[in-house]
Formats: sequence, structure tokens, C-alpha cells
Amino acid sequence: MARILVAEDDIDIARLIQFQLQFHGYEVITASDGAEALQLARKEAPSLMLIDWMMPVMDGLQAVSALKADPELRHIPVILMTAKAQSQDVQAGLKAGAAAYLVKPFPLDQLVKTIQEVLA
Amino acid sequence: MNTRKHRWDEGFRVRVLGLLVLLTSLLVGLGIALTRTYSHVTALQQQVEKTRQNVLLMEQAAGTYSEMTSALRGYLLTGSEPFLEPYISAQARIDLILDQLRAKTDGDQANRVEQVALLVRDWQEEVAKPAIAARQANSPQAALLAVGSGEAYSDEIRKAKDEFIRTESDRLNQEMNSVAQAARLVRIITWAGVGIAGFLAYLGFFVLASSFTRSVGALSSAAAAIAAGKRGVVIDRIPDGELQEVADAFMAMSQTLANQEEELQKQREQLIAQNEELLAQQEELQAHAAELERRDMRLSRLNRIGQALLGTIDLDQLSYLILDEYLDLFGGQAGLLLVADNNSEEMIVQAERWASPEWLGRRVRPTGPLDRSVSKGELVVADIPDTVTQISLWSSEVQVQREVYIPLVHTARTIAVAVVALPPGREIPDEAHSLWNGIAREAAMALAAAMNHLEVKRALVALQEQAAQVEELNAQLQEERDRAAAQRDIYLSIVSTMRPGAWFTDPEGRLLVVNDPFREFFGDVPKSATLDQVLATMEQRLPPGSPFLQQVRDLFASRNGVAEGTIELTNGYTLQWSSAPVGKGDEVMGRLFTFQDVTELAKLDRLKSEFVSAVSHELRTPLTSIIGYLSLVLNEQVGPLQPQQKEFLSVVKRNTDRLANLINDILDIQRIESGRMPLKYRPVQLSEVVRQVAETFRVAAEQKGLTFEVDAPETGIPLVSGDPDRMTQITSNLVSNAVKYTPKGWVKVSVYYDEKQNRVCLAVEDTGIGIPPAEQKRIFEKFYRGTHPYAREAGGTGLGLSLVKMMVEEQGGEVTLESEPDKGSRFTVSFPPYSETGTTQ
Repeated sequence: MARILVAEDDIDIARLIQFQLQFHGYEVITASDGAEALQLARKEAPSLMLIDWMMPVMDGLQAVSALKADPELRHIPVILMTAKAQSQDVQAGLKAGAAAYLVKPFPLDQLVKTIQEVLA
Repeated sequence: MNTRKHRWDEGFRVRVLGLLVLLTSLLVGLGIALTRTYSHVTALQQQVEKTRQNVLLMEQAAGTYSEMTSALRGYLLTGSEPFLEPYISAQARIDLILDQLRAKTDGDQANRVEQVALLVRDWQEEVAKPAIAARQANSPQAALLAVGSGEAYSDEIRKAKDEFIRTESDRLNQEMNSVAQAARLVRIITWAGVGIAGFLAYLGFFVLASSFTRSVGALSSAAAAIAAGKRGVVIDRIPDGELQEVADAFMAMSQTLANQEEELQKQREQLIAQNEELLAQQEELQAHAAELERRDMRLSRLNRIGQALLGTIDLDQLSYLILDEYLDLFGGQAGLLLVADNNSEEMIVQAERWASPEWLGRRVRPTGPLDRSVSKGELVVADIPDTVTQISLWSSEVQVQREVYIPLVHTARTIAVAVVALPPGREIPDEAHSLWNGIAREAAMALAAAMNHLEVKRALVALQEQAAQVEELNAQLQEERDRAAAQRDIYLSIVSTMRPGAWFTDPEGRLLVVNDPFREFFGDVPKSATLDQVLATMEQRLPPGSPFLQQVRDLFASRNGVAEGTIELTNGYTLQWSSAPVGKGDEVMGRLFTFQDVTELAKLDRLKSEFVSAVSHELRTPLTSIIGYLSLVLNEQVGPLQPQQKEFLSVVKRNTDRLANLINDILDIQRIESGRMPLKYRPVQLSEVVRQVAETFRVAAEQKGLTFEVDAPETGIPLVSGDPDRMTQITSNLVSNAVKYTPKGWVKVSVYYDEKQNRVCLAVEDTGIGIPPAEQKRIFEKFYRGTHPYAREAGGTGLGLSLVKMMVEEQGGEVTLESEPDKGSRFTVSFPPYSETGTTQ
């Protein structure tokens, strides 16, 4: 089953996502900021990354940009999660290289559906 | 007897000899007298010839001068060069004639010839040449006036000429007198000679013997006979001898005397004849002079008419002047003047004398003699019986036997005809024959000028009328302007006392007034500043790239445009501005900009926005956890739930969802209201957006057991202008409401083009709970929620429809609602097409 790297600074949400994804049979690795996520990504080579926008140290948008600038990692699809619901934010995220965009709060089945679509 | 005879003979011979000497000297004296007389006569003959030639030449000179003046007038009247040719040839001729005269005259007469030559030259230099030049410069009136001043020269020349002829005649008379004196002298000498001879004869008779007495008596009687005028006396009773010789000599003398006297007589007769001839010539000359006088008079008459005609420009006055002149010239009793109409073949009666008055102003189609006169430009004389059937136009008070039609031709066109009626027995005067044409030329010219003048005058009157109208309009305009100015003054005083900043301009943007608040915001501007000057002042307080300046320019370009907005100045002010034209109806008097100081409000608003935005974001993160974990429990992913647990947790979940939606809606409304979410307008294919959005609700609807139908055709719907995100949100809100508030039945979403209204429409229909009429108005209010229990139960933010309405109107569309409680609702959103031709094809 696919390995998914979740970068989320809110522990509750990280745990929630981890549970839901594992429930659906995915292998989940978590990171609490963008920099850690990039490190882990090199080591673990996940099939997909789920990154929160608002994080300390390195925020989600920076992480996506760095990821897409790295030849080793650029192939990994990224789904951005954020409470920023404005369309220009969505545009900015997609422009940086995210494959999809989830606005918090999102229903859990939408999360799974989006992941399935991106991986398909 | 012999001795006696001898004695007698000696004394006698001496006496006779003395007698003979006396007689011979007598004869010689007579001869001399006769010869002198003869030479006188011969000289007289020459003198007569010379005088005749001189007089003739002088007349020729005067005649040639007249020709020159006539030719000059002709040229001046017509302006045609051929008229100048006679003038030029006359000029050459007059010089030749004057040269001949100079050669034949001396003394005073030569001076007179010189005077005439000088006058002619001066006339040419001072009158003729300037007149020709003036005519060539196309000012006939000036030319004619110049010629008018030539009258003085004509008078002078005529005077010099008369003087010359009179002097010549006087000379001739003197010569004739001297010849007559010579003839008288011869007669006296003859008588004296005869007397002396008789005396001598009687002396001889007393001296000679008595025998001799008879012979002497015979001689004496012969002498008496001679003295009595008898000539060729024969003395036959004289005996031979010396007396006989004396007798013979006496007889010879008598014979000679007779011959000479006969000769003298002949010469005298000849002289008388010549004298008569001279007298006759003198008469002829006088007649010639009279003729010249008449010609002069005609010329001056023509001149007078010419001056009178040129002095009159009024058509009526001129017409009567011309008509009266012709009546006078022809001795007519009644008359008409017809003027050709420029626009038709007809002629108009312009003046009348003794015609039936109703003819004045009438139009006449030329026929008969009138037509002949018009078409040929000739004088036509018609006896009344010919025309009585055509024109019976004369007053019954005048008797007319003959009509004369006089054409007035100008530039080869008959522009008028004068008709003169002659009473019975009146013949056309010679003067009329020679003068009608000259008058006609001038009259035609003056008439043409008057007609032109009349047309010009009419045009002038029309112009004046227009000018008067324009003036009236101007007065009205001025009045309105005054009113507008008064009104503007009121505006100005209002503007200066306004609380908000105010900038009032005329329609073109020139400053009328700014008030103190405006100066506080932007700084001062010069009086009557131009638009550019004011904008330059404003630019200093505006952030770089502010669209405000361009907006202002656009407003002035549109004239009637209205706009408002908010600007932030670099000096910290935030101003809410609005601009509208000022005036009554279409009459724009100016434009007013107001600037409301909203700095404090803006600060508050910004704080509120930031607060709301931050709070909303902060709320979302915990909501994400709550909703997520609730879902895990409710989905029994972490273990089974008892039915009641599940029911209660569902309530928690529903209200959490509602809370999340509420936060989203509040954020949206806040964004739209603060204008912080600029629209990205682009052509949008509404049916495509609607199809995608609506389909996301299909599952939910069908789970509820509703029939879900989407009718959004891919073709045939025009594009609309809008922001796709907003369109998505509008559709989503409407469809989710329809699904939410429809317990059973169906939901139908359709997109169509209403050709009649030219709108692209989105309709969302359902068979739901419906909205009572009383609530229909309030349904679009913020936080308003229906009173229907199902609506309460279904949950909602109360912001969805107000968001829809805001977003639809923001994009130039409108939303309507038709609904009936418990039957269903139909929400219709409509937008104008993006462009007439842009369809989704």
C-alpha cells in the first residue's frame, strides 16, 4: 500500500489524518513542519505528501516550492491543506506545484477521495 | 484860207497835242485803276477758296472730336473693345487735320488752331484716358463720371471753333468790301476822266475856230455820249485834218473805254456771282454748325440721361425715369415698361403711364410686336389695328394710333421693353430715331444694375431677418445663461459651506470652487485652475499608480457619468468620494466631487476585517479536529455505537457543520462588503459551471430520495461576464438550499437563454417546503431564516441567500424568487450576455 507523508503541526489533526488513512490501508509517516517533511521525504520516499499551509519553521507553501525545486523529490504529488479558503490562496498553492487543495474543515471522506484521485 | 489855216494849224497842233497828252494820261489812269481792281478780284478769289478750306477743315476737326467723344461713350457704356477703334482712328485723323490747319493759318487763327489742338490733347489726357482706364478697371460708373467732366472741353473746343470760323468769315467780308471799293473807284475814275474829256472838248470848242466848232461839237457830244455811258461813239462830221485825227483818236478811246468797261462789267458780274456763292456757302456752314449744335445737344441729352440713370438704383424709380424719357423723346402719350423675368419667358409690367392701372405688376407672355422686339432687339412700330385684339391696355382717356416697342438690350439679352403709345397723327421725331438706341443702352445697363441691386437687397433683407433671429436666440441664450449663472452662484455658496471636501467645476473641468475641507485633504489649488492643474495637485497626495486620476478624466469625458469610490491619501486620510454632474435635466452646469473623510471608519473597518479574518481562521483549525474525530466515531471506525449515542452525536455533527458554514459565510460577506475581494471578470460559460457544481449535490439529493435533474445545455447559451468562483458559489448555495429544504419530490437545475429579455438565466426549482409570501422579502436578509419547522431542523447559517444576492448583484445580475408554501420554490438568477455574438458555440 502507498506510503503517505503527512506534515501537520496540529497534533490532533495529524493524529486524525493518520488514523483515517491507516484505516483505509495507507502507510503514514508524520512530520510537524515543512523542513522535517522534506528531510523525511528524502529518507522515506513517500508516494504522496499531505502538507498543511500554516506551519512553523517552514510553511507548507515554501515546502511545496522546495520540493518541486528538488529533482529527487519533485515527482512526489502534494496535497495542500489550509484554512485559507480564498481563491487567490488556492491559485497560489496550485501554482507552487500542489496537485490538490483541501480547505479546512474538510469531511474525512473527501480527504480519502482526493488522495485516491491524486494517486490514481 | 491856207495862211489862216496854217496859222491856225500851228496853234491848234500845240493845243491838240496838249489835249492828247491829257487824254492819254487819263486813259493810263483808268487802265491802272482797272488792273488794280482785277488783281483785287483775283486775290479775293484765292481768299475765298482758302477760307472755305479752312472752315471745312475746322469743321472736320470739330466733327472728328465729336466722333471721339461718341466712340468713347460707346466704349464706356459697353466696355467692348471694338468701340475703341473708331476712337483711335479719329484720334489719328484729328492730328492730321490740325496739322493741315496749322500749315494754312497764321497769326490769331494759327493761335486758335493751336488752342483747339491743345484742348483736344488735354481732353484726351485728362478725360478720355482716365475714363478708358477706369472702364478697363471695370468701374463704368467712375468712367462715366470722368467723361462727364469732359463737357467743359467740348464747350471750349466749340467756342474756339466758332471763333475761328467767324474770323475767317470776317476776313472774307473785308476782302469783298475792298473789291467793292475798287469797283467804285473805277467808276469814279471813269466819271472823272469823262468829265475832264468833256471839259477839254468844250475848251477846244471855244479855242478853235467856228468851223471847227461843229467838229468839236461833234466831239463834244460824242464825249458827252461817252460820259453818259455810251460807248463806241462814232464821229462822222469831222472834216479831214487834225481834228479828224482827234475824232478818230477820240473814237478809238471811246471804243477802248467801251471794251474796258464791258470787261469790268463782266468781272463785276462775276464778282457778284462769287459773292452770292460765298453767301450760300456761309449759309451752308451755318446749317452745318446748327447740325453740330443739335448733335451736341443729343450728346448732352444722352449724357444727362446716363447720369440720371446711374444715379438711380431703385428699380421702380428707374423704370419710371426710363419710361418718361422715352415718352418725352417720342412725344408719346402713354407708355409701359416691361421687364424680363429671369426665371421664365414672361415679362412683368414694371411701370405705366396712362395704361389701365391693373396692368402694373402683371405678367405678360411676349407675343406679336412685343415678341418681335424682345427676340430681335429691334425697334418695332405697330399700328393699333394690328394689336388692338392682343393688348387693349391703354386708358380710355388717351387715343392711341400707334405703338412703339423699344427693346433695352444688355449683354445681348433684351432685359426690358418700353412701349410708347403715339396719338393719331403723331410721327416719330427724327431725334427719336437717332437717340432711342443710345438711351436704350444706358437704360438697359442701369436696369440690369438695379435688378442686381434688388436681388442683393432681397438677399440682404433675408440676411437681416436671420440676423434678427440669431439675435433673439442670443438674447434667450443670454437669459438662460444668466439664470444658470444665478443657479451656479447658489451651488457655489452651498459647496463652500459643505462639511465634506468639495470640488466644483464647470462641465469642462475648470475649477469653480473648492472648499476648506478639500484644501485640508489635497492642499490649495489656484483660482480657475484647469482640470490638469487640480489633478496635478491631487497626484501629490495619491499613492503611485492610483486609478483615481484616470477615473476623474473618464468622468469628464463621459459628461453625465456618476461614480464613487474610496481613496487613501499619502497624508493618512481615507476619503470616500463621489461625483455627479450638476444641472437641470440635460443641461449640465458643472460637476461636483465630494470627499467624505472616512479615515476613522476605515481604520475601524480594517481592524474589524483583520479580527474577523483571524478569528475565522483560528476557529477553523479546532473545527477540523472536532468534525474529523466526530466523523470517525459516527462512522463507527473506532467501535460500534448505541442508536441513541449515534443520534446525539449526529446532532453534534450537524451543528458543527453549521458552525463551519457560518464561519465561511461570515468571511465571504465580510470580504464582499469590505471590497477586499476584487472580482476577476472573464467570459464565463455558465452552463459548464452549473453542471459541475450541481453534480456534486446529486449524491446527497438521491440519498434523500429526491429526483435530481440538471439541464445545462453545452451549446446555444451566450457567455456571461463574471468571476467563475462566484458563479460556483452562487450555484452551490442555491442548489444546496433546494436539496436541504425539499423533503420529497424533485430538484431541477437549469440554464437557459431568455431571448426576449436577452438574459442568461440559472433556475433552481424544487418541490420543497416553499416560502410564505410574507417571508419572501426578508429571505435575502442576513441571518434571516425561515420559520418553517423543517427549515429550523435542516439547519443553516441564514447567510446563504444574502450572499447569493450580494454576489449576483455584484456581477450585474439579479435574482428573483417565486414560491408557494408546501408546493416549492423557484430561484432565478439572470445575467446580461457577455456580448451579443459570443455564444458557447
